Amino acid sequence: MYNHNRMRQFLGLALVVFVSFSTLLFSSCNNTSSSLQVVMWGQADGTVFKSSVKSVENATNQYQDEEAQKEKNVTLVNGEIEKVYYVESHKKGQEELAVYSSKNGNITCSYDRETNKLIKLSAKNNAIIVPDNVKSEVDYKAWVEGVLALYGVEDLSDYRYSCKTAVVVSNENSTYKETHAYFYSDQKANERISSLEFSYTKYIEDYPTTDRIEVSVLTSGSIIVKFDEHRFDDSVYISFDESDIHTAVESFVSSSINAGEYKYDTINITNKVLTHYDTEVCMQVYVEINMLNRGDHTPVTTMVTLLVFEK
Amino acid sequence: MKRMKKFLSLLLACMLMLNGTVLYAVGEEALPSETETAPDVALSDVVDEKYDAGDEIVEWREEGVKHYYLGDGKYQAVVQVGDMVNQAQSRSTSTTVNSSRYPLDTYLSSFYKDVCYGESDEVWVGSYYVGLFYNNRPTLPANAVIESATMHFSYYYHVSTGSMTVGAYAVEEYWDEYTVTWNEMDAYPDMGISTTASGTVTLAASSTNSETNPTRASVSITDIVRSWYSKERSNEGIALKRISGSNTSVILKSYESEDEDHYAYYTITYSTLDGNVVPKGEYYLQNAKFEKFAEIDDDASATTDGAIIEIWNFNAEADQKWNITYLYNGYYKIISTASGKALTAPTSTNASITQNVYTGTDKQLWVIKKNTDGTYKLSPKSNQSQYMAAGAGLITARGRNVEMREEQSDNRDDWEIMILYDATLVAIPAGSGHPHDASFLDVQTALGNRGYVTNRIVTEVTASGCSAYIATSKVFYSRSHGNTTAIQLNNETLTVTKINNLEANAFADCKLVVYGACLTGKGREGAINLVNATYAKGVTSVIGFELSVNCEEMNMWATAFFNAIGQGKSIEKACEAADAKITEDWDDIITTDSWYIAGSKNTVLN
Repeated sequence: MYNHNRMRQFLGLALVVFVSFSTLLFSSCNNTSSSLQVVMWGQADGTVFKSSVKSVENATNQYQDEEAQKEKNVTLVNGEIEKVYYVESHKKGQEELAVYSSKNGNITCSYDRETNKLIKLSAKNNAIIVPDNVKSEVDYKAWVEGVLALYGVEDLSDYRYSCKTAVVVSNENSTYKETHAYFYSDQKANERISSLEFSYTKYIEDYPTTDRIEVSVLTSGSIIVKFDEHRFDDSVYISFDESDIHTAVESFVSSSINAGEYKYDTINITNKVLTHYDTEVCMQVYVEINMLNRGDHTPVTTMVTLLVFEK
Repeated sequence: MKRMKKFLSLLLACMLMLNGTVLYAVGEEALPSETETAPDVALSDVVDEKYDAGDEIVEWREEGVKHYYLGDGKYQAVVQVGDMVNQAQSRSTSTTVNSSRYPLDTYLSSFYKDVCYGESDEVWVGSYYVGLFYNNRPTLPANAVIESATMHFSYYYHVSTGSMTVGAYAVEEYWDEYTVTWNEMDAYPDMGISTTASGTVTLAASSTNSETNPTRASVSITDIVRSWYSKERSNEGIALKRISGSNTSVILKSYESEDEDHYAYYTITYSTLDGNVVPKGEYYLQNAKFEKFAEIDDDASATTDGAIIEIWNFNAEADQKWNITYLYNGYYKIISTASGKALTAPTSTNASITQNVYTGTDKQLWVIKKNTDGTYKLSPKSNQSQYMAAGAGLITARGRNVEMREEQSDNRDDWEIMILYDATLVAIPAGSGHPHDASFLDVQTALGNRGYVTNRIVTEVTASGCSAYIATSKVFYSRSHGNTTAIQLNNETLTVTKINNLEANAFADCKLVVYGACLTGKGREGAINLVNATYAKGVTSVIGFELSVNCEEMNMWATAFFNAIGQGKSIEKACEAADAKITEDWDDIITTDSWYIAGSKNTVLN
């Protein structure tokens, strides 16, 4: 299984990683709660935060894997078999994927380097077409689950279904993309559906995890199927307390803001997802920060993504 | 001290009101390399100043940069960089390449004007028929000299005597093999076909010529093919039309005949220049001796045929701008932006160079050669031992005529070719391990596909400098941190307030601004955000993001976005193409799809 092998492989490395990572956490978090540590994920906004605030993220490295299988046969959603050829490999954090593509470039697949499991299938230029009779959400859900069954995903009992619809809205002087967290079928004249995303997410005690299976249908002619699963199959779950998270995040944010420019006001945690950084389980939180500009006292809002670890 | 104070005040005016435009000399080395950064204006860099009689600074320079005073406290920056484009006269030996052997072909019939013949196995050419052919053209080096291009085909008659002369013409309008009809093409002037034949050939009938034994023939298409590569016209294919003869119709083998030996195709024979060529674009020509710029004489209307060329102080006006196009025949044409007329050499030595309607005469074809000091000599094809030069004597209040002269002992016959940047990419230096400019090379390449010359800046940029770049670029893309009302530069921010304080339509010349930063489009239409503030100053389209964006994801989105722009997609379609690319990625963090466009969504950069 995806995570079993990985966890075993990195068990020995975990201690080394944790020691070095803890050093980073302690050096960048001054006033976190007693049980949790917080670190910035992604870029730290240099306008808003002190320059001393460190951030972490996983860069993607591309490389040629000489040992990769040169070609594979992949079964498409419609049951047809397509030959795909090795392109390159991607390494991001602990994940390594081998990317393959069909000769005309319409089919792209990614496979896990260790398990050879299909992680993503992308079909462009109408290489795969949703059947004409699939129109309602019920139709789509049945079709999507049929697609997943084709790739061996039949038991979705641990996963919660959701659907998102991206709609491009055009007004006289602006155009923007609006995402509805449901199957949107009530299009107005100035709206155009650009994509439908059907996802199945594993939850642990009401927290979504990064274990997700996803089928995206882009009206531009692409269908993408992703299998990001099994990371949380046998990980030891660390119980985060809601109030502790809020306290830790607020403490981190208020002490990290560039106090010469801004005065901290409130935070609003908009989303939480259980994830991993290296081998550590952590909570990824999306935080809206409300501040006041010290110069003219105007309200300023920014958003950041943080990782919350149990000490 | 007085001068320095005056300079400081002028510098401040420059930074606040800068209508400035950055010019770079052309050439591969002239464009900043991956690690090279363009110079930013900084007082400590100033190495020289020039004053007029009234003690006003009319020109000041930093290392590699000149700033010319335009009046009203405004300056224009001109940057001279390193080595230049080289066109030597030696050429490689000739090479011949073929077009694709799989043409799209059909014919138009004036008998059946609504019928499409795309699936026919014949192509008819004659008194009532026009044949159309399209092949993909092979890739040639940018410094190719096309010696000849020839179309090859096979024909036959249903008669055994007589002949017909046909001409090869350029098709100038798009046509679809499976839908095009006589009526469709007849809607265009001259049926969408050029009026002058590139070449002609007489096709004779004979007793041995037949459908099963067609005769091979060829016709010159050299002029047409050169114009495709020089981008004077797009490749919409070749038309064969009857010119004269005793026979009224001849038949060619089409692709649908499945007779591979007789499909139409063409060959190109070319050599290459020993050096680079000036990329097609709009340039300024600065005389190396007087440091003045070639322009159309103010004494004449800028559009007057025969107006002489002079050198004058830099003013960035249209009559100082010259469109240089390499014609793939070893020569350039140089066309005035103001008049659309061509730089034309005189017949006599020491006579003035003028502008005239372009006819392709040898007096309007120019050789551009590099000197050892990086300047250039320009000589007409009609007299390649003479050069474009400032006239004899000193420059006067009326300027100095530009003449055709023998090689000069000073450098009055040497010129610098300088280019206005079309696009500016600004990134704050990498911080916290974030490579903000990681997409810039890709973006530069993509914009290059639209003919844009791009300036990449990864250095300390001021807010006023940033505003100036937006004001003077057609495309501006920044990568930095940001929030709803500001983007972070290095030590300061470009804010909604600072933009609001600019004059109305300050950014009217800019077509597209992309703020690759968090939250710059938050609240979208009607909100106080950086996107709306920028749009309010006249940019055609401004893009920001409603959510916080991840650095790596932003770079990937930008690469995909500008690739789509480079392929001719509209702003909105390019946003969607970038979304699709991000969606295909295996990263879970997807926030760039929160884009917001203020202004036109249908703009296609050209």
